[in-house]
This record gives sequence, structure tokens and C-alpha cells, in this order.
Amino acid sequence: MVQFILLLLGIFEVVCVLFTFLKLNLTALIIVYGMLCFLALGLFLRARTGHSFFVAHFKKEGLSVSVFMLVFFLLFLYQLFVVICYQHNDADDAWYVGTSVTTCETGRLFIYSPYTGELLKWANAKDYLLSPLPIFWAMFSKILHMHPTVFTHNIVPVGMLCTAYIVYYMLGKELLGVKGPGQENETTVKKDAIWCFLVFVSVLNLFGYYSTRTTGTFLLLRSWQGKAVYCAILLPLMFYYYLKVFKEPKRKWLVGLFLTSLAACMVSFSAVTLTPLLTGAMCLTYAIAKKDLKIPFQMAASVIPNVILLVIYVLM
Amino acid sequence: MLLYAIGWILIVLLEKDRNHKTVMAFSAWYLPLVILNPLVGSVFAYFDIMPNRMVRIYWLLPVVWVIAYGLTKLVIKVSGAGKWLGMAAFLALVIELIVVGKPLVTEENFVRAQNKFKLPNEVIEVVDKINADYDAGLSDSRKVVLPEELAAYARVYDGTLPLLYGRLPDTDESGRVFIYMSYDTLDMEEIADGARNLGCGYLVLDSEKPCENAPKEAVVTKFAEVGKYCLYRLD
Repeated sequence: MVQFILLLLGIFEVVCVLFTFLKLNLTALIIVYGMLCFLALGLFLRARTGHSFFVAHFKKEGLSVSVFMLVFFLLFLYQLFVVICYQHNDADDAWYVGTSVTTCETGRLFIYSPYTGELLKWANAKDYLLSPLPIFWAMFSKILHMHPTVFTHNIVPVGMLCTAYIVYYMLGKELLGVKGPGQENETTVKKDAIWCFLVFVSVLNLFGYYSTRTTGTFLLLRSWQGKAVYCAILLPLMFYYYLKVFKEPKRKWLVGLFLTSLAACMVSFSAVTLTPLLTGAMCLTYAIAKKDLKIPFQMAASVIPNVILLVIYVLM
Repeated sequence: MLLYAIGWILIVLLEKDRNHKTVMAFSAWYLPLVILNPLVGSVFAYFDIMPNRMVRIYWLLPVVWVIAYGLTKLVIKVSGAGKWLGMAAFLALVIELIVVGKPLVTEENFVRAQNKFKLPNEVIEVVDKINADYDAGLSDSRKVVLPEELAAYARVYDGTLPLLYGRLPDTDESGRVFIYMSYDTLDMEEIADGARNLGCGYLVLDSEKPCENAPKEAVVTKFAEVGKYCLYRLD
């Protein structure tokens, strides 16, 4: 499921960038992307790849209530309440949400400036062209017949908050899991520990306004913007996959890393530059820690899309 | 960063799994190497990649998760001496994080949602009044000059509204009007005449700012008021 969602984001990156350069419109994008999504779903089900995290986990573990869990859910509900009932006015919306609104109104991809409505000079916006998350939101708004601002300010934050904490849960389980007797290949979780971890993450998000660029700030103030999705959701997911690769370098974890990297390119151009740095560091760390070069090379392959996008950026 | 350092040390001291230590703690080795390396900065500057945004490299540090993970390891360790002791440690750490932390949910950052768009009400009212005036055929041009604080959101509400500039100006000509609009005292001659010459039909001014110099070319007619903003038609 996780990898399938990442795959859908990755497909959008490829299709949307291509459609932007071909100057095709939003309707054509929706049709082609929709068809590719169905195709991907078919292939995914047929290949039975990926990993269903939650179904397998809760089937095995069940769901028992603890104090830590209750505290976490109270904090989580409070965060949900904040993003649903309150508004934060962010001037960056002039570009991010403005692009979604302009795309919906005109049906054209990056043809008109979200600032003025005049023709957009691509030279001034090439990094945004290569990371088309606002077009992704415009597509959903169009399908749902909803104003993009209403969609991005009301629906997206709820989705992002839930997704973020699912990712934190996955990361927590990976970090705090222990191998039970006779379960050498399975990881069981110390339930209290994982809820405790999530409580700490929630408190840090709610009381971590040290700058406008902390995880909590991104997640609670402007989760519909690409850099927020990258920092609050995709980066922890990358760490989850790094942990998996370090523990058991199987193909599916490397594929997960590749898909996360591709999805990150879709949400923010900063990710195009930053992810190779992180992956490069992890490759070197792996090579030193495990005295192995094969896996680092495979890990490095996960940033091929980033390199391609950087080349396009430089050539533009 | 102090909390991050504490979390980092806790992981190094309390974590037994080498993989966890390596990925969450030791993998940060590259950061000083990149930040303090002039070669990296030169390459980025040469290709014009992330100009003035190198600070974003700190995003790569898993700060929140390292702190949370380190503190959880500490709670687990203390719990070994007694369940209630672990609970007390947990509570103490949560209180500590709250006390030393800076709250995010404040009046400075959030206001109660004013409308379904979650945009300032003034933006919606100003845009609606301009649209109504234009639809009534009272102006030849719908293009608007807005104060900076409204310009950032006007097209987020109505994607069809033409603006002279948005959050930032796109051209030198619009940049000139943008600068005059940002001064504490508004020069009407420069603003109104400049806007009219650039094809604008409407001008919105902050009434709390004093004005000087009457426009020479443009005829400015006030047709509405929204809060502290006065809406003018340019003829």
C-alpha cells in the first residue's frame, strides 16, 4: 500500500513534467494519469509486491489500550482540531495554492503566472515546473468539483496529518521493535514504547516552534506545500527505508527507497537536491559500516530521477 | 539543537542495535563536511541550484525523531527499574519538552477559520466588490493594484483576477508601483498614474497610510470601503 501510493506520486511526476513541456492541458493529464493509475494498480496486484504494513501488523498484534496510547490519541485529535478549525495565513500560498487555482481556472499547466495571471516566464519558475505538487492538488480539485483553496486548506491538512503519523508509527515500530522468541524474521513491537515515541513526536511538533521550518511547523501550518510534505512525511519515510536496507538489504526496501525519492521529486524541488546528499551519505555510511559496495551502489540508483531532473534544470 | 544533541547521545549510549545507531545517529557525519565545504557551495552557486537556500540542508537531520527516539529509550531504561518509575520519567520528560519548547498553536500563528477558503475575510470582500463593479460595466479593465498583504491572497481566492503584481512583482514596471505601495506614505501620483499606464482599472489603498501628491493623469474614484482598505476605480 505504502509503495503503491509512492508509485502513484512518482508516475504523476513523470507524466506531469512531460505534459508541461508538451504544453498539454489539465484534462488530458487527468485522463492519461487516471489510466496509468489503473494500469499500475493492475500490475501491482499481479506482482504482489510492496508491503502491507498496517493490515499485517494489527492482525498479528491486535489493538490493546494503554495510557501512552490514550495520551497520543488525545494529542493527535488536538492537532486534527487545530488544522480543521483554525487557519494560518501563509504568503507562500500565493505560489503554491495560487498555481492550483490558476491551473483549475485555465486548465493549462504552468502557462499563466499564479501571481498576476499573465504568461509565466519559465526561466523564473523552473524549479516549480519540475516539482508539480500544486498541479496534483488542482487535479483532485477538478475531479471533486471543489475550489482548490478549499481543498488544499481543508482536506489536504487532514490527509497529511494522518499520513504523517502513520509514517511516524512505521518508523517507531522499526526503531523500537524487538525480535520475539521464534520470530527471527518478524519484528514485534513493544506497544507502550511505540506510543511513548509518538507522544514525544507529537509534543515536539506542538512545542517545536523554534523556527518556521521545523517538522511541526510544516505539518501544522502549511502541510499542503511541497516542502512540508517532504520534511514531515517523505524524509522520515526515507529513514524508515534506510533502516530496512541496513537491516536486510532486500529488493523491496530498495524499491521503496527509489519510489520515495521519486515521490519527493514530485513534491519539492529542494528534495531533488537534498535527497542525493542524504542518500550519498547513507551509501558511504553503509559501505564503511558493512564493508560492502554492492548495496551502496543499488541505493545510489534510487536517486537517478533526481540526477535527471537536475540535468533538465541546469539545461533549462 | 541541544535537545537533538541529548537525543543523539541517548541513542549512542542506550541503543544496542548497531543499525539503529548508524542510521539515526552516526549517519549525520556528512553534514559538517557539506556545510563547511566551500567546494559544495561553489558547485551549487555555479549551477544556480538552491541559491540562498543552503540552510535547507538542516532539514535532512532527523531532529524530531532522534529526540523522540532517544527519550523513549531513556523511558524504557528507567522502566526497567519499575513501571511507575518509567511513567514518572515519561511525565517529567513531556513536561520538560513543554517547558523548554516554544508553542506552535498561538494567536500569532492561527486564527479561527474565517470562511471555507481559510483566507482573510478582507481579501474575499475586496475581490468580490471589485468583481461586482467590473461586472456592472463601470471599468474597462479588471486589473488591480493591491497592498502587498492582500496581493498574496487575491488570486488564491479568484484565479481569474488579473493583478499588476502578486506576492512579488514579475516586471520592472510593476516592481516600481510595488515599491511605491510599500512606503509608509503613499505617493498617489506615482501609484495611480503608474497603475493606469500599466493598464490597471482598480486600486486598493490602506487608508491608515497617509497620501501625498494628487495624480496628474488618472481619475481616481472611490467606490467602496472594506475595513481599513479603500477601493478606487481608475479612469
